[in-house]
Amino acid sequence: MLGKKIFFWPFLLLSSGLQAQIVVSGYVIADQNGESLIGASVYDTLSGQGTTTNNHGFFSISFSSGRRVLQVDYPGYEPWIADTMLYGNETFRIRLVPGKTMDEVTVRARPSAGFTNRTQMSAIDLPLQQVRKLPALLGEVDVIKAIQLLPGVKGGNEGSSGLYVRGGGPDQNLILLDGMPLYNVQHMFGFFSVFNADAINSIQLYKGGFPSRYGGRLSSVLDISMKEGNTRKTEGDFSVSPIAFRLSLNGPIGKSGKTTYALSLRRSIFDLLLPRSGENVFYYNFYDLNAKISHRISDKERLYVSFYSGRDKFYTGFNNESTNGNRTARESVESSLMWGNACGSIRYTREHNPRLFATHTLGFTSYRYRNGVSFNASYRTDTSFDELELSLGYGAGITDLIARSDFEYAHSSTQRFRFGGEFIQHRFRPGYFNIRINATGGPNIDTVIGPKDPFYSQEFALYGETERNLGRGMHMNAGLRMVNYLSGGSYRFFPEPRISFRQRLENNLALKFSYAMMNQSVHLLTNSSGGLPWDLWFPATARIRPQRSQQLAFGLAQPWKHGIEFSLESYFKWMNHIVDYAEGADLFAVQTDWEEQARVGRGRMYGGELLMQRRSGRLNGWVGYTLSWSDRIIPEVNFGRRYYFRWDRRHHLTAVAMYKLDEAWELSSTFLLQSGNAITLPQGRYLSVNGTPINDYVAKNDQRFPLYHRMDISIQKRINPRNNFTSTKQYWNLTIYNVYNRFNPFYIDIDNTRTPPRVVGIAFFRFLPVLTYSMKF
Amino acid sequence: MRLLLSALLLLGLASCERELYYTFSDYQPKLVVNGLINNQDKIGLSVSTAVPFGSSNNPEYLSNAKVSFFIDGVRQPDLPFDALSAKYLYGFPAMPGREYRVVVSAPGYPTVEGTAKLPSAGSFGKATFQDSVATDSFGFPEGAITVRINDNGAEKNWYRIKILYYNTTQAMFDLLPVESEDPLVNQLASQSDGSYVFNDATFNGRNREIRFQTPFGYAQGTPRFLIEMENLSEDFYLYSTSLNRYENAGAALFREPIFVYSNIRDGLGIFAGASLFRDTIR
Repeated sequence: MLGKKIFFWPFLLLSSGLQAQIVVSGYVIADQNGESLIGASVYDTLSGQGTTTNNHGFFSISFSSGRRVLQVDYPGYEPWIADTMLYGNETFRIRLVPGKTMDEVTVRARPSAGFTNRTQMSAIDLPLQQVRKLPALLGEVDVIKAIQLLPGVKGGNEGSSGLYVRGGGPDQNLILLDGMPLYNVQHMFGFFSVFNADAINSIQLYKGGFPSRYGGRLSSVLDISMKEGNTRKTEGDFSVSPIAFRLSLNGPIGKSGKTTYALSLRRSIFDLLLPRSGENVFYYNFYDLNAKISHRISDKERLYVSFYSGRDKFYTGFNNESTNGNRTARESVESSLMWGNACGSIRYTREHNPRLFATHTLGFTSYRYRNGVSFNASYRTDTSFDELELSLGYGAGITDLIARSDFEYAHSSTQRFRFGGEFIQHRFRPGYFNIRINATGGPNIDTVIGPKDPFYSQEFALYGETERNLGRGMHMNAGLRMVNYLSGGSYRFFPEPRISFRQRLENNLALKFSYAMMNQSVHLLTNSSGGLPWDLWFPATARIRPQRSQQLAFGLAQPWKHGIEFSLESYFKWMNHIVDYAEGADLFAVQTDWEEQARVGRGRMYGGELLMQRRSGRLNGWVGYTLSWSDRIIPEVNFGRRYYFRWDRRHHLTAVAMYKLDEAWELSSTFLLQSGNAITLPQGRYLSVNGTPINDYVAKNDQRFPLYHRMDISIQKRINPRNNFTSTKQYWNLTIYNVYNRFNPFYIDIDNTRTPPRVVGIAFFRFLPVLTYSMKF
Repeated sequence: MRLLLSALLLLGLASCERELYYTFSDYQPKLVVNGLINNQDKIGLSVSTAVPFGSSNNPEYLSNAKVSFFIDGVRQPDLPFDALSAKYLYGFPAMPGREYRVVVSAPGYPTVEGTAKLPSAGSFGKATFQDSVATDSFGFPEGAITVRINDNGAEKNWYRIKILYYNTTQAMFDLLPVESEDPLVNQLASQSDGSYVFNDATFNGRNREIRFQTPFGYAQGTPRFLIEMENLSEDFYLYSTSLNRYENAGAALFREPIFVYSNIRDGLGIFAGASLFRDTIR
């Protein structure tokens, strides 16, 4: 009891006296399938007090007794409004009905209080119904590519699903799938992400002002929740594109509706067209499997079991058999490349009382990479038989075991708390080669180069945050995350303060400010050029310390007419102990000697972002613009001079529009215009002391790719929209990627085969129309 | 049908290459000075030009440059051009502890200059050779050469070691392909000319022995081995290691670019020194 008091003491200091309060709590779910609606705004329109639903659709809010007009908003759904007198605690199970997007009146009538009421800044909830309608490369709906169209977020190479948030690196994004981090979210050498849109319920992106419950990465948090499953009936989706087919099923288990499942499978199909036997074999495939079971133990307790597995495999094989006289030779060369993630979690939630909600999670995540080449040969004559086996394999990976508990406490009408703890054990395999040689009568070698044993590190974090209404339109969210990090016998402690303010002014204009410090104990050396899967994760060590960032952000937000939300933000972020390649670092050398080939330095990023978004209505979408700078100083790189980050792009303009013509036809289009990213190119040639020609690079990343711009369109046609005799809906979708055939280089190379050498660009995706079919049943 | 679908798929994904016209019009003409000097050989340096990337002209050596030469700040006669070696030569080797400066100008190019200071002569112990200390995987005996460094703790030192054997057929020294299990001379220290370059970070101020395995069949003739041990200036070390990385990099597609170090003000190249110590094993 004493310990409990001590634990709450810092928060109670902040609170005002506890008054007689009535607690309104409950869940917000979608009427059509019972799915939890995450991030829905729940507020009293009279006082403006409100909250949002958590990752389980739960909300809890305290009011003084009396009349309240409660309103619940969620993009794409009709608002739920209840004018009620509160005399005691109330529990609601609120079912929101999908909105009729044709109805402009509904959209205009909806106030956007939830938008400006939030203290949280630099956060975006991306409605999945918008993501699904966006034009998709080769017809594959991609969550990450949709996020790349938001201000402050940039992609990597043309067509890649890299994520660079506010000048940060790809390793600095905490990408959570049902609470478990994923280390590599790319398929097909980066062209597609691992997220199957059919398996996803919600997407929340934080670019700054990070709540204390999140930690471990510097630049962003992408919190993705998987579908729980329809509580009333079994339903499914099927679609096929030139790349993959997707099949999803979800529904209740048993008649009570207490238990639901959601299962989604995606698999590439193009390898089915290629030969799997014969002299030359070549194929590539990938798959994703998402599974989730949700069980309502009681009205106050729920259990969730989630699992994800995804893998890419690239294989080539060459077989040859020849006979010369009485000598028969069989030879085969095989090479394979595999990488993939798996993660799983068990989550138990309990509403201890209307004020206190708890979530306990136990889970794991794992990323594996394997690459191998082998040569097998046998030579037979009448009198002899010789065999030779050579193989070279490379492996790397990381596995985390994670346990965490999170609590939410609605203390009073003006104050809420969140607190909890998290333990992570990291198990690294930072790269090793396995060499094996077996020959008849010859040497037999089986050896490992690189670290043979895994490397372990542990993180333990405690956090607490309070959200407090300071009156006169001012709102504050203050928190502290305390991180303990243990690696190779060295111990580090990091306090991470976080704070956000919101001041509401006239005309629903809200001014916002936030500060957040983040630390990251894992580093990544990745191929910065091609989005290839050679990701090498390694722990912070005594020599390479954990990365740290601090970010200040200022912003304003205001709802406009016609349901348009407007926001403007500026940020300044600086980072320490970030790593980059040593000059000339070789990917394969890095794999075995990462600490030698990594260089440590600092970086700074700053810029401004503008977003105008309309989430609902016949015409919806957004326009985003980012003006930003991102650079690095690493003492042993570029001779210690400051240089631009590779993915620094000065201007980034996006326009996304979706328009529903009628029940049958929908159109959508995206346009992206951005500065070329930085690149190091030789600007001169000269002779070395040995007389050999050398390129004069002058400075790192001081050149630019050409200006990038591209427009994509998508036309969707529903088949027989007026057929009311079946619940099955079928769609044809025509997507045209790069409508006007712009040459946007994927990479730039130096062609030394020509005299004089020349700079060439290689583009993969020009005008690319694709037809996909999908069905909902 | 399969073939048709495969072809369509490949067509859709087919890469497209196009020349990009980066003009680098801002690239200014530069002089390149290259001179690595030591206390055993006559001072010499070459002067050449740098050209814009993509230019149809190639870098070329200049014979009409004016090379002003200074020792410890005192001006010496300008260095004459030697057509045989295509270098500007000074008649004497450099001396440890002294500072050498060159100022180079040529018509149409901005004047450049570079300064080289020879580090103090390294303190190297007598190298020794032991025969038949181990056998290789084929059962042949291997020898071992041990090199000794007495590091000066008062300063930061960079070293280069190169081991040669006496080729009795050609009556000259050739590179000896040695190996070592010493972490100091690992793969990163290995240079393309067969030498090993490293610094004293792990043994500053202490004596250090480095053992090299010598392959079978090279310990013949008298003298048997020549050990070249150099105490490098920092500029020499940075240039040698960066040039070595550059030359060994090849044309890997996704390799990070390599900057070759330069200490020539307003130009490119290197003017740096090393104190060389040669030891023979008979």
